[in-house]
Amino acid sequence: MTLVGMALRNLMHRPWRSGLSVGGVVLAIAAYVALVGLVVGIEGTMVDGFTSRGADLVLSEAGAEDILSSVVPDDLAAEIATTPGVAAASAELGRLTSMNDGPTIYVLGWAPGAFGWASVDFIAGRAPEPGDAGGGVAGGIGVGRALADRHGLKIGESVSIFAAPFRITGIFEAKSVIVGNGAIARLSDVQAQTYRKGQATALVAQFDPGLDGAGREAVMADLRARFPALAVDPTETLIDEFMNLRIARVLAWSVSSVAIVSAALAVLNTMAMAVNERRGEIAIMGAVGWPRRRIILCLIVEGMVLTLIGSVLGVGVGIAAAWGITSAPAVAGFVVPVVETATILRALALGIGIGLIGTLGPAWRAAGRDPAAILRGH
Amino acid sequence: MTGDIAIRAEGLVKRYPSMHRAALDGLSLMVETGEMLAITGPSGSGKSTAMYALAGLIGLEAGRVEIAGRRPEGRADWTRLRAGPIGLVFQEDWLLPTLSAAQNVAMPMVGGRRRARDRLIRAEALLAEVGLAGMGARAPAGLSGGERQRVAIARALANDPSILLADEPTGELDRDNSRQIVRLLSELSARAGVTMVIVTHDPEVAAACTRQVRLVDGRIEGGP
Ligand SMILES: Nc1ncnc2c1ncn2[C@@H]1O[C@H](COP(=O)(O)OP(=O)(O)OP(=O)(O)O)[C@@H](O)[C@H]1O
Ligand SMILES: [Mg+2]
Repeated sequence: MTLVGMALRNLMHRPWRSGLSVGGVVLAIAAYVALVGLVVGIEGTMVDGFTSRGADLVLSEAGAEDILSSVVPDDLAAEIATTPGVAAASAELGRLTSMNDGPTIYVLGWAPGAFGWASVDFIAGRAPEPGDAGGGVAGGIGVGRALADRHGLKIGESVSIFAAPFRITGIFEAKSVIVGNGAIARLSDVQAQTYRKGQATALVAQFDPGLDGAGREAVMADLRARFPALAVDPTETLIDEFMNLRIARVLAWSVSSVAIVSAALAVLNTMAMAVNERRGEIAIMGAVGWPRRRIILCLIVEGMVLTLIGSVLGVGVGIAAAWGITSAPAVAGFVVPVVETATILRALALGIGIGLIGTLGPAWRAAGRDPAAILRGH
Repeated sequence: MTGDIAIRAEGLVKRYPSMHRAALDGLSLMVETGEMLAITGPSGSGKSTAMYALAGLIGLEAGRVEIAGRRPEGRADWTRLRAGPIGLVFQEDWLLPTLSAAQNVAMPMVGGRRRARDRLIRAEALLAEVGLAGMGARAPAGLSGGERQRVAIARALANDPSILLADEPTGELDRDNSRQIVRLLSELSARAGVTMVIVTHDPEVAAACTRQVRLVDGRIEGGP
């Protein structure tokens, strides 16, 4: 019989109460893991959407709420490309729209010669061309393989996008989840169908190869000076610009904080009750010569076993929940949850914190009670 | 060994805030090694309080206790004594319901030098000594009142005490079980030379002891 063995026996002795407390911890940790995993995933997918096609810099409308609501003139691309230190720049128009009145998909309009084209690999058919438009067809469109697979799309088929018929000219493979689940048409065709002649949502640029950190900073400073109405962000930190993601982050934090505080209270309640019911047992431990610290340790072990089981289960449930949520039809293809090791470690640390907060107080109080008053009975 | 002093208490005073008189009012008491002393007295006379004072489970306003050759000062000293030379038995058995009989007996050995397996082996041996051979795996809930009190006595013996303090150890038992417990304590006293102080209401229990003192109003009747 060891302290851990005693703790397990005590917990099993009241399976419902222990189970409910473990449940509270599972919920809290799962909420934390799932929400953080989703936020990191959303951020990652966004960053990935740009970096995977070689964009080092994204220039968007300063102050825009997110990348899709930014409006910039497409002809700035040529001007940006002439900036020293910039190797290439191109305009793109990104829209979220429904396909065939069904699922929401991400459609990108890319200018001819945009460097993004080099990052997608047409495994069947070809990229859209100017001649695809006309004769009642709004233009050609390439669809990502994941999108094509999910909806059984075929080359030559017509799909309704922006309520206009686009002809599928090819199926491509892309490195980024969001692009691979989306579609790419010619910039001018997308502009024509969305009443955005001359407009883009972002201008993406590549640095000259071999430019070091300081050189990149200098180029960005130069661009900011030349285009004060644009936000100039390296792709990695682009997401910091956008309000929606900031809100998502704050929401994730606040929801998981609430869950974690309530779990701590649940464990506190369980331990306070357990300790109260077991005054006699705790007093007898003191009477047979257990030092106070061992009594406290014994009770803490009990609370920690509870929270550790809950935390480990919670991490599993959280990962499963994050994947479950992102496979829902409404968001499939936009987000892949990213549960980093750091998130898991933080979740386990939170679990231990919940255990300590919930256990220390009751254990301390219980071990401090006057054993004589309890043991004399009556 | 006879003649050695196992317990020497001098001028013990204990006041409870809610009482107008002292629960222990200058109690002095001497117990020789190997003695089996009965403490009797009317209800409220301070018998339990005296026993808890001898075990260091309550703080005192005045007086000093010398027990098992030591003069404990502070909680840590007392804790060490209860983990060694002092064993305690109460009116209720206070067995941990989630542990088996043997695990209950092994409980005071946790943190000691014995390994977990050896603790249980010793626990089974102690259970045999109190007449519960082979019953170590039983849960306390499945034992009779008399059997449970025997387990509690075995637990008190876990760390080989030289002094056993018992507060109404037969208080919750019927006549038959009470007699068996008294016989068991007498045997332990005779065979192992364990010094015993037994607080009791029961004249039959008191008569089985080698000496009796009567407590009235927190002092030994006829004492100093
Ligand atoms: N924790 C306490 N707080 C206040 N008063 C107490 C406390 N414990 C005991 N007393 C009082 O101290 C006096 C002595 O109590 P004690 O329990 O020692 O008596 P006793 O001789 O063991 O009685 P009994 O035979 O009924 O067990 C009693 O008047 C009791 O009410
Ligand atoms: Mg009493």
